[in-house]
Parts: sequence; structure tokens; C-alpha cells
Amino acid sequence: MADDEDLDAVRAVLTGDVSAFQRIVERWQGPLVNLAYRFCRDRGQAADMAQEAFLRIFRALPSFRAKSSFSTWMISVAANVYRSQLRRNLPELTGLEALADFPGLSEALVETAGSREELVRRTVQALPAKYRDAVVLFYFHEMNVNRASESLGVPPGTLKARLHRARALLARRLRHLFNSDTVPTEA
Amino acid sequence: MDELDRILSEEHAIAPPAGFSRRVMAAVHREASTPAPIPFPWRYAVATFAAMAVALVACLFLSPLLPTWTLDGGAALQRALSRIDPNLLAVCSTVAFAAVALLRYSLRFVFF
Repeated sequence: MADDEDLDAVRAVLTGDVSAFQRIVERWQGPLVNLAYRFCRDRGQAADMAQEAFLRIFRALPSFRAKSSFSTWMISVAANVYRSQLRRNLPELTGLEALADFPGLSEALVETAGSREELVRRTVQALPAKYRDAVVLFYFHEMNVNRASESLGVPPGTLKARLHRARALLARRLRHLFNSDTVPTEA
Repeated sequence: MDELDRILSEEHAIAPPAGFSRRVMAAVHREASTPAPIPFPWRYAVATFAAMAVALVACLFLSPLLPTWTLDGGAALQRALSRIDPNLLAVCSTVAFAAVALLRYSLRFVFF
């Protein structure tokens, strides 16, 4: 139903009714801003990134072929925008792996991040890009491997392999926060 | 579901800032009103390159068939050009190119 409404709006835009794009923006602004926030963890930057994503989607509308659902295609375009923007602005927390080697430092890191949960999310952000993207999209799609792999443009098997590797890296970097039996160890 | 899944699944949703959709639509309208960039004229470029290739091949294969006086004429032209001052030749060619460009530019006012 929602996809039909999106397709109606797309058709209207393609026939010259630019204002019809507002229906798409209003329906998808929440998810796209939230996806951007999961990538950058900054509200202001997330809004800017989502705006750029909507512009890119508007420009790319003529190339939409309806092979996949509009929402999947749109999130895939947005994810590409976010990934390329993050490549330009490297994340700040890149040295977490080295820091995690010092026992007792985890409490200080938790304090800096604000909470244990926030530290985990920031550690995800500091993963190598291909693992970070896999984790972000997997949890954004509520752990649906097929939808996440479509958004990322990789086969489901590749996504699973990246998730496994990402979780192993997270386990190593956060081993002071978790008991070894709650987080999988590296294979 | 382990601890990591729980934490990463429980991401708190944030609301888009006030006026977000208005800002996006303003940017979209600006984008829509901007004229599309002129695409590279591939059709003409390919046709030109093809014509050049045909001309080159024709020259290579037909040059032995040309009468000898054309070769003599070419040599004479080369001798004549070598006698002209290179600086003067450079100035003349620049002026000629400028004249062609000016002529081409002025044709716009004739046809449009």
C-alpha cells in the first residue's frame, strides 16, 4: 500500500509534478534521518546527510526501474550517499582497538561515551567501513539479512560473512565490557 | 538474542528537525529549476572519429595511386612554408583561429 503510494508519487514527479516529491519526503524523512544518524551519530550532520540523500534520490528517479521495491531502492541510494560522505569525514573513534588493550580503561570509555550502549554504538562506527555498513544496515532493517544485503548491494552470503567478522571485531574491542559468553569470539 | 543484538536493535529513533521537509523541498525545487547539463555529443564525436579513421585509411591505401605531380606540389609547398618566418606563421595562425571563433560566435546572432 505504502509502496503503491510511493510509486504514484514517483510517476507524478517523472511527469513533471515536482511537488509530488513532498509526499515521498514526508513519508520517508524519519527513516532516512535515523539511518543517517546510525552512520554518523550526530543529529545535525544526520539531517544534512538525509537532505543530500533526498536530493540524490530526486536526481536518480528517472533511473528507478521497479525491479525492487521503491523503499529498498531508496534506502540503497541513501546508504550509498551516507557511506561516501563518511569516507570524506573519517570517524573520530578509530583507536578503540588499541585503547581496549588496557584493562580498566573500559569504565573511562563508558563514562566518556555516556553509557555502555552508546560506547557499543560508537565502536560500531569505528569499525572498518565494510563491516560498519553491514552492521548498521542489518540492525536498521531489524536483522533482515535479505533487505540489508539489497540495501548494501551485496549477496546475502557476503553480508553474513561481514556480520560475522564485524561481531568478532566488536567482541575483541569490547571484551572488557562483556562477558566472553555473551559476545561471540573471533573464529 | 545476545547482548550485542539487544543494544544495537534498541536504537532510539530521532525525529527530523523542524522544517526539514520544507528545506528538502526548497532544495529539490532549486534542483528542478536548474537546467540540465548539456550532455557530451557522443553521436557527433563518434561520427567525426569514424570519418577521420576512414580518411586516414583512404590516404594510406590511395597515396601510391596519386600522380607524381601532387607529390612535387607537396614538396614545393613545404619549401615555401619553410621560407616564412615561424613567428609570423604563429601570429597568422592565431589570428586565423580567432577569426574563425569570432565568426562562429557571431553566427549565433544570425540563426537565433
